[in-house]
Amino acid sequence: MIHGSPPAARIRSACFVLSLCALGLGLWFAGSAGATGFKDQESQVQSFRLANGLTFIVLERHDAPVFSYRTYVNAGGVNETAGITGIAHMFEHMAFKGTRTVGTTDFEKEAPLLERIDAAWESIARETARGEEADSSRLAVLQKEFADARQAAGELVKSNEFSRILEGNGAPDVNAYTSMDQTVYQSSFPSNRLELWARLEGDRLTNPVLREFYTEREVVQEERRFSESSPMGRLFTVWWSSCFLAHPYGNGLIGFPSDLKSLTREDAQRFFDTHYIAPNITIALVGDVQVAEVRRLAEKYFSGVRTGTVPPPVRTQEPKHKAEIRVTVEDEAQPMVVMGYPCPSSLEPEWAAAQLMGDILGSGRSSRLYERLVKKDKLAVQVSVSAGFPGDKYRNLIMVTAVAAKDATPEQLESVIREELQRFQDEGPSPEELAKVKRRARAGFIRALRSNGGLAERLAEHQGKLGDWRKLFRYLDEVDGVTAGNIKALAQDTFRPQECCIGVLRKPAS
Amino acid sequence: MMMMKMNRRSRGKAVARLARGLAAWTILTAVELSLAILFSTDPAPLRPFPIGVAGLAEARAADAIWVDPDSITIPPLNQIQVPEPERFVMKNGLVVYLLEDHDFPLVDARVLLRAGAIYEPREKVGLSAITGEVMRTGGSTNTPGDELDRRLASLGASVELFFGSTDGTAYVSTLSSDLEEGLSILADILRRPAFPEEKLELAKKSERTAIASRNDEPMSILFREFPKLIFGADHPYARHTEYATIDAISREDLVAFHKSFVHPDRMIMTLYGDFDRGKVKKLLNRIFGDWSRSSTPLPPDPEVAEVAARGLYMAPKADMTNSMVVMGHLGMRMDHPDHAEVMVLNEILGGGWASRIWNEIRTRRGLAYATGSFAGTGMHHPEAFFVYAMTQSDSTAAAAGYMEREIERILADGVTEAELEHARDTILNQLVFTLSSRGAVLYRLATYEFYGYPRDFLQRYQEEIRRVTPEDVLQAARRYIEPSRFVKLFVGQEDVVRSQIDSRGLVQEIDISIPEPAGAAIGEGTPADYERGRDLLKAAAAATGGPAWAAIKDITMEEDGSLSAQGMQMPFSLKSTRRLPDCERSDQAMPMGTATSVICGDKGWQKGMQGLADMKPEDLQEAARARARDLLTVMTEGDTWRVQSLSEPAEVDGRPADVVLVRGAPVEGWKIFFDRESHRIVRMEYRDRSPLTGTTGVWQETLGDYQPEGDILWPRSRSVLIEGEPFLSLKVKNLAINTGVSDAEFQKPAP
Repeated sequence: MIHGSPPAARIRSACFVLSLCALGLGLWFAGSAGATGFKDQESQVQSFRLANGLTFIVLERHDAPVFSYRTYVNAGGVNETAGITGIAHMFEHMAFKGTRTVGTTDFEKEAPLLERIDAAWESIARETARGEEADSSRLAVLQKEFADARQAAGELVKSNEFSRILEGNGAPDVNAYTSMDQTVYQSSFPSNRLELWARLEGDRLTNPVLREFYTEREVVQEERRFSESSPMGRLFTVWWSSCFLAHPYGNGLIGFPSDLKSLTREDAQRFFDTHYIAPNITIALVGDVQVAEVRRLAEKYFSGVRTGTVPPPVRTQEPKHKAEIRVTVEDEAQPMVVMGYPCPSSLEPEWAAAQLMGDILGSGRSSRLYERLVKKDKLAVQVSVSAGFPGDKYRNLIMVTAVAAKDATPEQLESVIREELQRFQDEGPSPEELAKVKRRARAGFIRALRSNGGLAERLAEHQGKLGDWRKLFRYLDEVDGVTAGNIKALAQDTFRPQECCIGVLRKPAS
Repeated sequence: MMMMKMNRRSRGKAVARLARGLAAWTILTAVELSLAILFSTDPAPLRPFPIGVAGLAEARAADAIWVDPDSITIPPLNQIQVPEPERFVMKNGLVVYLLEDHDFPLVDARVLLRAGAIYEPREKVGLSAITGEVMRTGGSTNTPGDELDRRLASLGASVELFFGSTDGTAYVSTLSSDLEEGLSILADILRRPAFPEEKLELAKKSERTAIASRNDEPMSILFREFPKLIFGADHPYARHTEYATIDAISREDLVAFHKSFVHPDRMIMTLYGDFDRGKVKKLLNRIFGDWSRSSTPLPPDPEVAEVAARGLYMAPKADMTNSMVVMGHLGMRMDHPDHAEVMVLNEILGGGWASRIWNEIRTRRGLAYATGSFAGTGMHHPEAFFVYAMTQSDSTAAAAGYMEREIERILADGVTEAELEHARDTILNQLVFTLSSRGAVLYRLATYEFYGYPRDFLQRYQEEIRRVTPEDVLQAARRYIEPSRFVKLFVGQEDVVRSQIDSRGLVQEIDISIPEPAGAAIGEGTPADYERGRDLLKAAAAATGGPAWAAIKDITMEEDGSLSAQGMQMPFSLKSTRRLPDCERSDQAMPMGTATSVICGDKGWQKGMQGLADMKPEDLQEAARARARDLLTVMTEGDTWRVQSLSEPAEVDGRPADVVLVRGAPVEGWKIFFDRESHRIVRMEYRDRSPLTGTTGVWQETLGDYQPEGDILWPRSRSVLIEGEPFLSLKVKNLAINTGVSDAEFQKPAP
């Protein structure tokens, strides 16, 4: 299509934050599977750090007059605590609302009005919390004040100005996403817009103004309803939460409804102040740019990003499960099962083996589970296995999902999956299987390097999450080092029945 | 944490009192904090009012950075180097575009081919997609599909085929070292697909699963039902699979579809990446060179006419936590003179982040997470122009109302110069990206050629976008958007949504329940059941003429009776002639006029009140189905079918009957009833399209009054019910066999 942003594309791209997209996670991680023989790419990558700690990574590629960028903030859903679930994603929405100089006709007049809105909401929340005792006439007055203040502030807003400038300058893929591990802002521009980009991105990391917060809160609540409007979405939501007894990975991403209803602008601002600090941010640019020019503009527009102490990692560790966890959703929908088992984090040495194990079991038409469930037994129409759910910064889940073929039951799926997992623990991978997934990892890696955006994404993520973008280019060595014995040992350590967390979508018993 | 919180509060108050000072505070804090971090972890330096003279000065200096974004100098763009791919045509008509790029050791090959759902018969919807799928999963006569899967996986390569609505694509993605093998695999499955039964069954099972779950996702209901209202439920651009259409597909259909539609002269291939042109040409010649052209012309594209479906529709879905609304009508092809204006219009109305609908419904009112508009411009054919919103159930009508208001507003007042400028910038700047990857440029050129657009379509489009004025947009909007023609479809909880929209007028309900397959409830029979089924058919033939059936060369029959439609009954006369092997003629007379249709082989014409016309493929297919159910066909070919005897007790007109079920060809799920005593066929039941409603329903045809004509017995009365409602009732007036029907009977008259 000639036009850049048909609605379907927008719905798809906006789905990064939906729990449903978990199904697509396999794709994401397949992308970070490694490479070798690309030392020339590696040698062309340059990086520098500003005085405030913000890291830039730049790769010049001049074959087309465009560039892509990623701003990687090393904070996401996992950094939320009870009461503010959903705030990481909520802030990401707010990051498009502008700054002190963008998105407003008069910030001096607007600022006190934003204060008034906050104060009114806080009073409403406090009064409502009294339950039966709440004074309804006082509430009515407060609601009016809340509405009036929003109305007055709204008159000073230049709606969507930030996005509009990006879009008008040709950014075809303006978007951002929040995951459990990270929040990423992304776009591409014609390369003569470099300074314009720096001015806008630097401004929003330095001076964001969280205007229209309470309207956006409604949008996010609608987003949650949207994700639960399908039976699969409902299964995923409850299964996800059930699989983690202690670790915040279990809070989900979108936020619990009661939290979403109560989030305040102050919560969002606090999240920003804590996590959007320069040493916690990496920006990668790939395309038709000059490193020296990027550096000059970075000094100019990004030196004002606040510095600070990077918050410590999440303290809670998921305890070893001593009993199987099982959730069931009954619905007149196509039955499916989703099974999670404990999986190492991407900072652990077993990570490469975990990814290869997932590939052998459930990636592609010649994977073990596909051959068995889809081709041979014809019990499933779709099956996938992916490591790293719902994130990979901490210990996570390797997730097996299978959608039943017509007339097959989830019980049949579960029993065959267990049988295959047992066989895999007994036998380990064959030499052909191992060679196959290693070669595929290589080809996948090279493909990922080809696009400016794909490479920027991976450079930023490796720097932001793993501490060094160079690890991107080591990944294939790690993959090559994995032996059949490593995978077999990992499988035996992983697929223990008592550590399985299973979700079942089945037809209601009539 | 506590400290941070207090500071944040204080800062808020500082903002209220000293708005101008805020910048100073933020900038200073950033600097101070960074120093503090170096020497201590105590956040104490976060003072609430750190405004000093020096601070203000610094703040002003710092503030100066944040100039108006529009004032930032945009240097001239580095030249876009549009690559010049090599294009050549092979002797067999295969068009090839080649473009080398050695940056990465990869090659991507893509093939566009004219194989799509528009070419499949109405009663076999799904055939095209399944053909594409089984070509890939079943592999070739040289290499079975499973072996292919393993081989490709071990190369880290992929070969995929996808037959869509109007055309198909195939692609190969491989490391350059494996190019030869990858392309050879592609050539092999394109030219010599094996179509193993097992993979066909797998594909059918997968499609049945998709049918079973097609109402699980609300979005898929919307995107399935809306086109049916726009194009017509049975139109090739809108219709979709049902169990019955999947059941009707056999391996022979796949073979025939492939034979008809996969040919080198109907393909355009692009190759992009790390290869040597000379070598690749030799390779292409070796693997595609001896492939022959198609021998029959491609059927014409389906005509698009707006069906009179305007109005309100509701598809109830009880378990939805929100609702959806979509409103629109038929769109346009991209070569329409108003195309550029419509793209600008759409960008302003609901296409972008800065659009009116996005702004109103999402940003200002927080009513929807997903909302916007779709231009409805299609490359192959007009698509649907629409606006949509997914919203909380309670605010369904509100969201619809705001969208309608935006449409009225844009039709009344047009767009502002500023909006136009933004839309123009957006479209033009984004076009840089359509040209930014060499592979994308290549594919685009091939696509233009494939759909018959000029090579410089994009450049012309750019020029047109530059020239568009607000007045042009307004005029184009008034020509394009007609709210009175809108189809408005709501999906959600019925009572909640209806209570909001019933006041808008008659709301027609859309039944999204999934029709069960014919014979679905009936399990497969034992071998003995099939044997008995064949015996019953043989007995029927023996009882009504035996060997005399095979001696029939032609048969002509005149019938009189009545036809019932929409509660009215009218006289109806039919004269039908069939000449073996493959010609037939029917003349129908009703009070409002007469109609004739003739089919010989794979061609046909019809003449009626609308004049003379060649038959469309779907009409030919419908006639073929009727011919398969003709008594003559049953008696002469029935012993080759897979026919299962059913044990269920049955009666026809109070007499005991035996029943068989036809499995697969020629009509899946067709039930035939035999009188137990006389062995004659007395009833048939099948699913087909109703000529009255256009939707598929159960037909019940009852035959009676068998009388001799020559050496055979032929029924002299028949009546047809559709979905239990009387449709036809006819008695035979004249019957003649082997009269030597001449060619003149089937001659197409001069127009």
